[in-house]
Amino acid sequence: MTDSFPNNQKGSRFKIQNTALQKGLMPVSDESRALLEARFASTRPTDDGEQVPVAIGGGGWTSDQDLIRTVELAAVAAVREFLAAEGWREIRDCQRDGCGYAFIFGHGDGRKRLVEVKGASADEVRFQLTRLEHQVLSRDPSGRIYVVTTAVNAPQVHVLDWMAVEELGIKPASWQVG
Amino acid sequence: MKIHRQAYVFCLDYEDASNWEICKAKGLVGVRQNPQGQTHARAIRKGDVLYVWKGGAGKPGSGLIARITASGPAMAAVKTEVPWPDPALFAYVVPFDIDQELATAI
Repeated sequence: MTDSFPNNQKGSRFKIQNTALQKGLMPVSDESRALLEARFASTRPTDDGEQVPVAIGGGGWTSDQDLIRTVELAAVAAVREFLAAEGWREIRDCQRDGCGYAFIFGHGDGRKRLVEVKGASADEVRFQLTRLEHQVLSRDPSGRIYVVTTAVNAPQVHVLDWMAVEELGIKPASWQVG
Repeated sequence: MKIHRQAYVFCLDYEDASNWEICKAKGLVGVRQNPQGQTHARAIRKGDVLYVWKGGAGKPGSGLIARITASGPAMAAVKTEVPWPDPALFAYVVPFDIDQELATAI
């Protein structure tokens, strides 16, 4: 007996068609994947499991998991769109690889770029880096940090090479002892 | 060369929902005989992500229940043991590692 999916309200929340569910196994769109992924507790893991807070208005930071997840998903979508408009093609999604950056993009002219994405709820360029992100991006000249301010409501993409990061100023946010 | 992990939605039919416990115990999910489902099963590679959906529309327990990662390509069901009832209904099995299971279906 095959299922029927009357009203499929749950599927529609993830932009998944009834017919896709009835096939048993179907690829999902990037949009559906982002919506599905948002339902799982962890946001993309960082290199060592750190959960990096995101900047909010008034100079503060938030560790609210739902807000971080929402900001991060919006920032990734904005950066993908931004890079595609500039002729970059996504070569690899490394968000779950714990390698110190989120994506590898390639350009038709042969350039390669390691892309880290930082979302912010605030309208100012502030973000936190993990140790591995700092280590990789400060050493690899192809590394760029794409900071998306007001990521959820009015995303603005700022592209930083490491020199620009240093000009903004890097301050230790926490210390590990022992 | 496959360079981007594909994501799929894998749906357990409502009447197969009790098979989920067997799936987890054996690390296998089964793809039924639907032609498109079989085509996609053959494309699965290690590292692909499967969002597990329990069918049944508005019935209790239906909806998104887990995220798993394929630990290898799909295998023809005739060549391997199918560990749940009605094995003849299944064309492929896909080995997986479980990433996360939701406390309740959503």
